[in-house]
Amino acid sequence: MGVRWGRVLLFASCVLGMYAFAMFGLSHAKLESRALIFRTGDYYNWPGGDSWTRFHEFDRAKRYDAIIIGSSHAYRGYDPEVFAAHGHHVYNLGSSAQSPLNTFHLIKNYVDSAHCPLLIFDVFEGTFQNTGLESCADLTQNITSGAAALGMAWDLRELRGLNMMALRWCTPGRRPYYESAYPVRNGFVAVPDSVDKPIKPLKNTKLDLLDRQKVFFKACVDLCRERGIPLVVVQHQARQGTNRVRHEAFAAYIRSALAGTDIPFLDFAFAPGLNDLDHFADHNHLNAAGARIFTGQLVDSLESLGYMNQSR
Amino acid sequence: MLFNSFEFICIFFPLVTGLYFLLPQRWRWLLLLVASCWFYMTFVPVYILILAFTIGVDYFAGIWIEQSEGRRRKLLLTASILANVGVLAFFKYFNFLNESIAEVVRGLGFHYGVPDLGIILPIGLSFHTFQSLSYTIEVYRKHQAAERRLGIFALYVMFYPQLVAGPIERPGNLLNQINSTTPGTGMRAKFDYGRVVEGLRQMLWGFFKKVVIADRCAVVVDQVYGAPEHYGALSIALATYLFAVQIYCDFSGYTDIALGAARVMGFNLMVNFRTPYLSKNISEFWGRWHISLSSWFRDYLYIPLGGNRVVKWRWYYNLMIVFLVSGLWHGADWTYVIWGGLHGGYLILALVFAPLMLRFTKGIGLDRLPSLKKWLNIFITVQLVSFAWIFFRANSIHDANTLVHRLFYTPWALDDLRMLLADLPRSMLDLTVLLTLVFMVIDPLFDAWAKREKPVPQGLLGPAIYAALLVGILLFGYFGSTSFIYFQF
Repeated sequence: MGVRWGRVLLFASCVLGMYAFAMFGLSHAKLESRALIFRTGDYYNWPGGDSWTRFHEFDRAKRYDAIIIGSSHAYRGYDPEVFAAHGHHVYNLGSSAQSPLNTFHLIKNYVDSAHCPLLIFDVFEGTFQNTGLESCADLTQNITSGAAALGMAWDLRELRGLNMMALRWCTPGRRPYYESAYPVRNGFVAVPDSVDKPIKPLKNTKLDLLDRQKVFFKACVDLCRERGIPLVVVQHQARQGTNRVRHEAFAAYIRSALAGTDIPFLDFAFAPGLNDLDHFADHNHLNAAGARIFTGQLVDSLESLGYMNQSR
Repeated sequence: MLFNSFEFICIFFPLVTGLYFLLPQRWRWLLLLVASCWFYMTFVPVYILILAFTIGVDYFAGIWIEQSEGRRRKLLLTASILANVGVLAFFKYFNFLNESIAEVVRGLGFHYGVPDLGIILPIGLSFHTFQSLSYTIEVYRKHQAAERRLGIFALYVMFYPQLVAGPIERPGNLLNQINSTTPGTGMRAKFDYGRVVEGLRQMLWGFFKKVVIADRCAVVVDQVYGAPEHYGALSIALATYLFAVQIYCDFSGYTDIALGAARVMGFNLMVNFRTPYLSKNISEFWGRWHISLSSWFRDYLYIPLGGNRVVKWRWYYNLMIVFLVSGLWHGADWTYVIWGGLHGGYLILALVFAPLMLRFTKGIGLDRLPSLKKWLNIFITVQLVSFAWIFFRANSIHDANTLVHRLFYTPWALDDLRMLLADLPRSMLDLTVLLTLVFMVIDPLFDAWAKREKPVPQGLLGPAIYAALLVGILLFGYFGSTSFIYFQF
């Protein structure tokens, strides 16, 4: 029996050693100034861009009046200057394609009630329909918290998560490879582009929310309640061509998930004030002008609900 | 549940295997039956009822056939075949027949009102139907005793490693192993470290073929076959060769995982592939490709039709019938029928021109260079098989026509590859081609190790080789929820 366990151990050591050696080699050897690892799979991200800046500029010891979290809708739609004009200091931890799975680990490692009296969680149906892989590829290379990176990579439950983490561990002290295309202010990225002609409506695909993302959304809510972090769930404006039935189905799910809690869901999807041509950068992201208007409406709503009044 | 999923690798397989060895032997059949039901129901739960119907029909058919003689015996077999084929026809061919009739009727200017029923094909239906059919036929032929225990018969049809994509087992092999009374074999196997390691090695090789080779090739193949009108001869040829590798790695990879998982528990399933792309002619190819299906057709269709013990025209007719049915077995579409027809045609032409070819090879002196002759034959066989794959993979007859037309009537220009590279990352294509070439070199050796035809190197080298294989999967695997091609059949 001892010999057999010895063989199993030998095999495991071989795998571990070879994997570490190969991963280290591939992440350091370069071809045409690009690490070879990036040629082996399309899910490895370069460190850099707005995510890098956002998480490296975020001060975990500082007290903010609110933290905004969610997908690209969050970091492109919630303008901190509008909050500042109302006397609130906020920081935006939104990131590309951030799904509830990723959000959960960010809240767990970056947000606590002592430094964040309000968490604004932007929800968008698209993030409930992906596995979280894209966001994981981005965040594992760009966030400062190793625990958050490991948590989301593990929860992906697939080998790509392991590889992303191995790349992170093999490249400690790495520098960002590229700059964000637009300036990053308190995590927010204002996109000046406008839609200069009507965009074809998106195909009305079936709303198919992943059970796993629903579980993590619920976990985010539970974690906030457990830590005593006041939470508000928000969805910003959608373009007029957006399928209302589909949106209503999503909104109904969010309301049902929040049922029994005192957490409000502020659904701005079809709120007035924005038009498709002047206030959107593309199919569903607000541009800088749209973000200013929406954020103003949001702050008014939050204040009327009694949130953030203490910071003024 | 896919073999290449987290649920199978990390939960289902270790749990079922662990319980299998912990449970008393008399309860193992129940564990495997429950596990197999669970495995199947993770796809579309309600379709377990179709399996239950097939099992019920063939269980009673087997007993009644055994108890009957003469005409009644034949009638019972016919009823069993009709029930099985009826289920297959309804779920697999109704939409196809309906669409084909609708096209003809509308073409003649008439109204056609039979609606599309939107039937979704149950996973692996063709496989377990054929496996169940082989049981009643074998009982009818008095080669197999009827199974009296419903649970054991159900396990024979549903044994999870080969439930959804074969190998299509025969009762003489699998049912006898389930019923094994010899200690140490089949269901009475004890935990044997050496056998478990052999099974795990075979599974690992299967995963490598599937995740590293097949799924990578699929990216290039899907790109070209998804929009054939955008690509020229070079891209189409490359994609077709890659599809030849993809389908081999996908299907034989699945088979290796199935055989390996079964071996861990002490079962020996039948070999389904023997490095088919090293065949020297089409006949040999079918002796090495999807062996469980080709031998099924040989035993239950080709030989009953008369096989080759008939006049020549009838022999050729028998061959063509078998291959057309084989094409239809693969899929309810004309592309599959053409694919089967091509293989039938290749075989008939080879038989017709065999004397001429013999004289020709002697005449040019190729007989004196056996090695060159062998590789030339392999090369020609690969070209013929690859050409037929175009029809197998094409999304429609129209696409197949486009592919063949562009393959032969557009220039072989490097610019065409640039077009492909505009749609795919260069590194993706480079690595796919490189890994495919490496695979083609190592496949015969790993295949022989997996089948235990050659000993795996002893000492440190053996574990190191398989550790490298696992690391290869981790680093070069193309992950995602990609299904296996043969699940759809």
